[in-house]
Amino acid sequence: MAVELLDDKKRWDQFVETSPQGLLFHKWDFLKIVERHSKYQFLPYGVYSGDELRCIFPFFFGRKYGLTALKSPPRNTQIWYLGPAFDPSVGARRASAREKIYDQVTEELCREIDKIAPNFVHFSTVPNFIDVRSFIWKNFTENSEFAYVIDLERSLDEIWASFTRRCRQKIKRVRAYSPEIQQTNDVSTLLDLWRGGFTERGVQAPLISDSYLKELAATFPQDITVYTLSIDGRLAAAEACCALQKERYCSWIGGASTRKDLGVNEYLDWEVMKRAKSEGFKKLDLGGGAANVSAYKAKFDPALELYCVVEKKDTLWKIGLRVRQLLRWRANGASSSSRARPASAEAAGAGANGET
Amino acid sequence: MAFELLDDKKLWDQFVETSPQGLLFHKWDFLKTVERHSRHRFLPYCVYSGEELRCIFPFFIGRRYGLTVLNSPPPNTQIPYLGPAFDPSVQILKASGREKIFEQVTDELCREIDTIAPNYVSIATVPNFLDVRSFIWKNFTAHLRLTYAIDLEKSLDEIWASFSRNCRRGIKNVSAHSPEIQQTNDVSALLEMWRGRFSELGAQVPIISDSYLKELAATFPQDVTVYSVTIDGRLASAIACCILQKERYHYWIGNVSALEDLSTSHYLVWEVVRRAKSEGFKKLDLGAGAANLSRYKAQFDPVLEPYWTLEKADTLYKIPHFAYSKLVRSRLRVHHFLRR
Repeated sequence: MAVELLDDKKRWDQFVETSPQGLLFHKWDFLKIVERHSKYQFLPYGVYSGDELRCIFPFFFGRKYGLTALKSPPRNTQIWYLGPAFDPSVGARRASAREKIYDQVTEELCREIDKIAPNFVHFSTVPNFIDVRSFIWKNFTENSEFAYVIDLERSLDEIWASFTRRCRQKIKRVRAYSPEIQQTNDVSTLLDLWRGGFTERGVQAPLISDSYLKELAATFPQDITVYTLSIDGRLAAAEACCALQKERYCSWIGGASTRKDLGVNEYLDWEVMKRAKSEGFKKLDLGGGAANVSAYKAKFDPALELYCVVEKKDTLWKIGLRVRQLLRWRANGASSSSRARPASAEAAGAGANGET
Repeated sequence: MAFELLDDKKLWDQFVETSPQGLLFHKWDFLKTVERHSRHRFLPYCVYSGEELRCIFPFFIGRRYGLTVLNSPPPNTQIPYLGPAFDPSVQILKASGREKIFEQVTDELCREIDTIAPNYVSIATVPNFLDVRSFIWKNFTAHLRLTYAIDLEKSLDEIWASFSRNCRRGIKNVSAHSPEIQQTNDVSALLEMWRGRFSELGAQVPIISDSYLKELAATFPQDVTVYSVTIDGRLASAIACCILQKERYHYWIGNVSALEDLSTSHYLVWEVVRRAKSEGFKKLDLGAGAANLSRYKAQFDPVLEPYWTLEKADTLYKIPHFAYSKLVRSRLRVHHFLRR
């Protein structure tokens, strides 16, 4: 096997389309936009077995506080899952052959990583890709994360009946206000609303920049849609959704509302479910999150899917982290306001692409 | 919810029988045998919601390096999975109801743990019990583990065809030597063979004592079986298997081969697959292991099933544990160097 930088948009995207792990987040233009807006260099690794492309592994190389990091994905990109995507033939193989390929891919990648010698390596796999043992055996650490997924193959009645009684009541109550749902590609209003939610909690929105999301929405108008809910002509809730794969829709960025007295978010999620189902999607990914976010999402009776966050830190990076934690803690102590310690981006429902 | 010690073997075992997470390892007599042979005291915790028993949570309290540890299961008991077992009604609740119960159980347990104030807590869950977030949110460290399971609902032909070519060839080769398979409850020969393998590796056998395994085999003669392959009257390979659940068989302890040139351990797996299937089991759990062991097991084309190990250690525990692990590693390095 051989690792090379695959600087061929057409071939890359063809591979993403066919790979069981290939998501919208893996697409060439998506990753190039990340590169333009983050301070990271995109490294489109391809792993070959002879002439056959077996795996793509998008990495981003960057520097922080003088230390180097190799990430898939970088922080604050709102990319929940990235990491390796394999050729469909790999998944169809017997366990021993499949695991041999995983071992070889890991071997080759680690050789490449050793050449770069970063202080920190981090990647998140796609949901249900949990066999990262080949990395664990190379002294990487693994943290598993959970995503909530609604099965859209059930009838709408079944889906509705699976919601908690309280959730159904809230949706019915919003219905009485004759809410108006709109679909758009303009992310400005969503961003205002979303940022407001973070400002209230005294934290920064976990997004590189507004222009990053705007460029994504403009580049993928078919895949990224903003749903808004207005009551009496006033915006009450907004959410950006995206088509992760042919059959997997994602309730992506949002969850902020201006009407705390009404279950407008629940109503909007139900609308997204109905629309995604009517468009032929089989799953709606709600993402994961901290306890409070999970409690909200659990109302829709979703199933859990696992994915892995794999990391390797050298001592310098660990020291840097400790120093940062200490500085942050001191800054918080100094402010000594009644405000709680800043919640993590995860707690705000941003998805786990953080730096730990 | 109320957290209590359930000192009632009958009620405990009835619950284990019906719980989707209830395994042979959860049974009262199994855990009492562990208590007798380990230096740990069995704490049969249970959680009630009103009058209803919702969850059992077997724990063992003991001391290590002079510190207090709370384990489920304790080390060297050859129990890969234990932890909580819930009432079947919990599984069929809607996500929010189920998660609320998980959180309440974790809250109650953590309150009890705080009372005991151990230096270290460890839990290994049963396969496919995924939702351990309530523990993660209580600052437990969760490690995802993977075990291998062969789907016995496939036909024998399909199972055979799914084995790697090398593996099939090895089994055919052993068949040509007219191997004899025996089933017994006597674990002595297995233990001897197994211990020999660990001595070669310069490691200690990860079992409390021989008498522990002997007592388990004697207490559960229907559930624990030792299979051995003999060629020309000489023991070639042996494995202890056990019935984990009504439909789940477990390839448990041993699987050491005395003959380097023959794949007798592959042959034994295939024999156990056939026997377990004929007895109506739907899955054969092969367990997992380090890289070399996983490569061996992957030859049987099993599927991966996740389970968790959860840990919480205070600083007092981390310091000697860190020192001990460094010491063991350097001892192993010296051993490997001397063997070269």
